[in-house]
Amino acid sequence: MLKVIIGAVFCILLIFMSAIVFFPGDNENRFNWKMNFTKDSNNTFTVTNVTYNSKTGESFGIGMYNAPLHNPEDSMHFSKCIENNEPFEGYYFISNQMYEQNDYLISCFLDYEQVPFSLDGSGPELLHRVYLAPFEEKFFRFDLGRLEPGGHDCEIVALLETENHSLDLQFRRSTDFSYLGSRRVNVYANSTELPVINYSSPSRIFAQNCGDGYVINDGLLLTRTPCVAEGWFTEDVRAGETLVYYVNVASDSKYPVSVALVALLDYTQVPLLENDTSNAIFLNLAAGEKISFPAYVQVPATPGVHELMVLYFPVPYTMLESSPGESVKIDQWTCTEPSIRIGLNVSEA
Amino acid sequence: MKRKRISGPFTAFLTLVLLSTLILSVASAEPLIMRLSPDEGAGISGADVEKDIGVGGMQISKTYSGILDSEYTWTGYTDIWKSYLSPVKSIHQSKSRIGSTPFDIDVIGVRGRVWQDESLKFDQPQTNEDSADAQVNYQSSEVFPWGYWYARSDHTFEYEAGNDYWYPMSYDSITV
Repeated sequence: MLKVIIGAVFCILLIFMSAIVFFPGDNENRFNWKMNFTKDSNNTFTVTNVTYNSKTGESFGIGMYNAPLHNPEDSMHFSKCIENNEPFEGYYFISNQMYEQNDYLISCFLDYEQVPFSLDGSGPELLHRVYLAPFEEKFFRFDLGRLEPGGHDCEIVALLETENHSLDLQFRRSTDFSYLGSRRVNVYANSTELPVINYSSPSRIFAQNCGDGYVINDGLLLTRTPCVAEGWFTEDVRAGETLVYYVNVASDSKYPVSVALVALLDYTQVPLLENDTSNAIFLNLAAGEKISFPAYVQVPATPGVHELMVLYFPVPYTMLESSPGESVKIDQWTCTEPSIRIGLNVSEA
Repeated sequence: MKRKRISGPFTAFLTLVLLSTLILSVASAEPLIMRLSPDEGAGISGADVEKDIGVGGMQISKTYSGILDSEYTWTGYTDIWKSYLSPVKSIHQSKSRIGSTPFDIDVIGVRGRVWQDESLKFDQPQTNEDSADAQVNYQSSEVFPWGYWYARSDHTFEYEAGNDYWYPMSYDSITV
């Protein structure tokens, strides 16, 4: 009898031990980051205290202003009216709210086309690199020159970690929806109307339906095969080859989405579709609609690691405010999001 | 049929070792569970206030204290955890407070994403206007959720009157 009891106790203990060994509750990262700041009567932002156990992945503030002053009266908010052939210019504000100095790659998308622009006196370029010290905030004067009459969307994008070309999975996964901040304004050049969008139909882009149970909601995921949840992080490719990949894009199950998609290779815009000269694709997806379509990229001729990504611009050509400072309610995620940066490891052909 | 006998002293020794290990494991474990307080849960749209929250994760906050208006604190929080026999769970939260009172701002949002190794398991944004909270939660369906789990949140805080905008991210991970 005693042996039976000992055996039973032994079995119970064994089960408990198995549960502990095989189902650990190991939570390995416990980070905290805390910042205190003040503003004076001129709305000047001053960090008074920062405590942290580990650095944050990213933390920054951005804005677009008519004058280099951090106050609401000088903010562009979300719209700008231009008359009499004035150039579109202003100040791009970045607040580097991190304990590390960072370099930001700045790019401008006018009507979802990457355009050259002047920044801080440097000539018109597609990409500008700027440096900010820990907790530094700075205004950068930008100038896009004269715009065609009509309504425009202008979004200035700041990218972090652009000099990191590690093929490490941990880094690649960390780039998912990361290291990008942007600010968009509706620009009305002698106009009060925004353009009407010519949306791509799913059949035109050879899209297939992933079903409403597909994992993403109001977002995107790049993959090597359509409608899968396995992410795509790196690829060994030959110089000059054409690489096919899939852009999975989805609305939310509860609401429709309107989105513009743009592909970047080494942070420079490239076409998404084969034999198509248009650089951006506009999609309008009904609630629960989740699709996957093939995209193409011409692999660079230079060996080394090159960066491929797709940007997800929500609600293109949508009026963002009814009057200065009065935002319009928008029923979808409104932050521009980047896909995972795919590390293309190019070898000679 | 021959049966192998386990000697009494050996059984006692083994039991002692197992018991000691069990006691040590339980004693060294941190508190596993806390719950959303009614105060925190009340203002959260779409959140399951009964869901257990793990201890740990990554919490980031930014506190404004100035002469122009009331002091307020914005907090972003990501936590992924697994209690012994339960599934993997995560919480992704943005909140705005004056003290412990919800402080509504123009836009508050959070996008939660959860990866299990190289596979995306969860992706859900939530944006609320004139609100103090945004939160999404995840719970795995796998019976054996082995692997490296990585949860991340993109937070959005926009307060036009204060000319204050913050877009931080937070993350947490767990190996099962």
